[in-house]
Amino acid sequence: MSVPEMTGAASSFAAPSARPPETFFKAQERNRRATWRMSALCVFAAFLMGIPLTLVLSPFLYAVTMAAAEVVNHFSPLPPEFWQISSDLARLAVRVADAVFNQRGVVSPQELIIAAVLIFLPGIALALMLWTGMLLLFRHGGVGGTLASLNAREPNPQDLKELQLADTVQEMAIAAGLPAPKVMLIDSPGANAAAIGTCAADAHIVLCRRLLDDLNREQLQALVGHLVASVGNGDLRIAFTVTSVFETCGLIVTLINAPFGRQSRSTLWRIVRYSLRRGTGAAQSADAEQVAELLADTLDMNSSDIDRFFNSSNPGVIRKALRLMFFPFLFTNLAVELTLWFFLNLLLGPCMALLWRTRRYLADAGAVELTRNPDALESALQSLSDDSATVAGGSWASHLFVVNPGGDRSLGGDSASAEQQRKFLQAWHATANPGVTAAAHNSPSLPGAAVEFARVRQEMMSTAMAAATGNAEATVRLQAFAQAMGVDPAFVHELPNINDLMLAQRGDRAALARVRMQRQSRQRQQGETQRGQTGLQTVSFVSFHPPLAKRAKRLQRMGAHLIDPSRRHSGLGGKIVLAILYLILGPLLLTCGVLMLFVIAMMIGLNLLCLGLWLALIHWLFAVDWASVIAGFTKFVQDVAAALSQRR
Amino acid sequence: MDFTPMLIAIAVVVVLASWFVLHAYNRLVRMRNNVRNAWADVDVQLTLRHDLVPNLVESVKGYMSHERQTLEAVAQARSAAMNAGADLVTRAAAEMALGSAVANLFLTAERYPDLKASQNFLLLQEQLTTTENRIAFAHSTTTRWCGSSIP
Repeated sequence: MSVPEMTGAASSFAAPSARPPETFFKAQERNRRATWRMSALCVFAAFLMGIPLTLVLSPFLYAVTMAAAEVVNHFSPLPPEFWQISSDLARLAVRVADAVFNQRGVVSPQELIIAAVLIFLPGIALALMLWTGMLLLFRHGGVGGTLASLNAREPNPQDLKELQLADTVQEMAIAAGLPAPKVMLIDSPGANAAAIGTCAADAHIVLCRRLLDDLNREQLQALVGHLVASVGNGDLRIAFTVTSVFETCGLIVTLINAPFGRQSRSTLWRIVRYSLRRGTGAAQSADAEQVAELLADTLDMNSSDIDRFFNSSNPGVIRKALRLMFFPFLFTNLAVELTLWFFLNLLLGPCMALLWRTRRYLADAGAVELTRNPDALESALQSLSDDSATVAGGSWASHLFVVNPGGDRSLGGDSASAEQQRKFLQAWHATANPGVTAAAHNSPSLPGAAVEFARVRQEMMSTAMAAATGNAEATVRLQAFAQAMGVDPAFVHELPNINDLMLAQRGDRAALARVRMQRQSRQRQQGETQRGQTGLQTVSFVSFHPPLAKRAKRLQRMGAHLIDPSRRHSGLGGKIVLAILYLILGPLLLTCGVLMLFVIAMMIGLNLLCLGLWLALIHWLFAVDWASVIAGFTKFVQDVAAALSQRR
Repeated sequence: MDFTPMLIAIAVVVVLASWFVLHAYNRLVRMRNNVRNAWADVDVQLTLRHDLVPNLVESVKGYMSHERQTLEAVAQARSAAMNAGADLVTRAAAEMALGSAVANLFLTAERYPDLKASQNFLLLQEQLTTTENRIAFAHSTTTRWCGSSIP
């Protein structure tokens, strides 16, 4: 271990360096101001989303209340003041609507205010109540569930690298003046890290084991510094609030769907059970995790319970009757889902993503402050962009990870770093022609190497499968290759185990099955990486993770040096094309957006109409004196029968 | 004349003022405790380093039998640091001297591949590295909180 590495921060104090264009203090100040701006934007976006949502929910609540009142009134009459007040309010609402929309009649300001309160209050009250409920419920959920779904384990003090990790976390905690967060490791083939928890006291830092092999101590320190800085800045609370807003929306949809579908009912039952259970056990946090996932799923706009209820073919008689009775609920659900989809995806989601990005930049600047070494963080991020970053089981919390689990190619990486690729290619070419030494192959330029690497990997996989099914030549080549590569842990997950291949060749069924499974999981991982979108990311077309190129640029402003300049895309041509595209498509997108707003307004109106019809129907149902109607009908039938018998 | 509005205003002002004063006092107490804790951190790490150095010298002796000067320098620096006394300036100087002696030892150890393969040595090296880093970071934290930790 070299001296500068060992004395770490102390030596960087002593060495005077050229002042960077922007100190990390300035960067932090700038990002904190940006956070305030983004938060204001988020609140404004939530307010904008709330308007159509209340316009849908308030009539719905009123209709349900009045229908319930009618039913109750039939069995035990309600006091007449209730009906008097409700009809007065209805008349007032009609008058105000007339004045506002048809410019007919005059309304005093007080009446206007009362009408506005009547319309907006129930929806707002319901949303706020649900949101507060979510916050309170999940505050004590803890992270046990997330840790269990990620299969996290404690670091092993016998392993040198894991001991280094634990030490690094302690060092960064001392540097930040915070209590040290707990550290957990994931044994997944991906390379990513996250800070999870509901608040700073409950913070857990989770890293993939592969990171410990890929990064040296300085880079690991910088990465841990980033995570500790984000914990210290209160990012966990912000993440908690962001997730709770999305979950509240999911809860609203679930509530409306509840009478119609088993899935919604089971979700609601889980919430009730979770809120009633006391204590913080593993079962409790597992429940919290499941509820969170379920609610995040409802926002996915897959066919919801109501759609299934109303659209299923060959319904039974009971279902037809129920459909007829509850038809306005379908429109309510449609209106709510449409509003949520439009505003979340286009307004609130991107605002929250931008807010989250600002916090990421802030944590980067915080890492520079803690380690005084921007180079280390930049090289760590670069090496992270080279490895595949998907982590199994962490999909719904994808926004919490340091690097986008969907993969980030902005720094031009592939799934193995440049040196690894070169080693790989050299070893493979050496085994192909045993006479040719490795020195005869110059390392090709980087873009060529990427294509070559992909081709060679295909070749390797096919050779491996051939060896597994008995091809002797392929086996020999693989053995030579394994020897040339040595024991390189980075490739353990890229290829099937050489031992397994040998055994499979000899007919070991279990080994053959393992090889097949490994290939399948590798393909599935590639598929996931290409899709690039999981969990919370689906509600925003703006990524929750800032592109690594931008983060590298900001780090360079803070004093990091350009790493591997040949990697940078000039991208100017691409930018011009993109600008022209936006100019052409901009008005088109704007028109589409306005059309969507019209559709939403129409849905709101339709919802109102249907609820009104429904209420009228119920009123007529209960207002009519059925006893006398039935008596009259029976008398009529008797008269007809008597007349007929008399005629005869 | 009706005194009640004036009394209410005075009461509100008094309440606010007392709240501010208590708040400021709490903050000062909290900052003082932070500084004390930071100092305690540094002390703990320094003592830990004193304890680790003899183990390091023992584990290295077998491999680096020819480097007597380096090993002796380390042992001397350690005893000097332990006997430095309460004076902050001499103590700081002695600790820095110990730090550089240990760094020198690690630099020399780079030339012995057998030593670098020894798990025991790697563990000790890791422990000493992390102790050095913790001292450095605790130093930076105290500097951040009270200007300078060493006058």
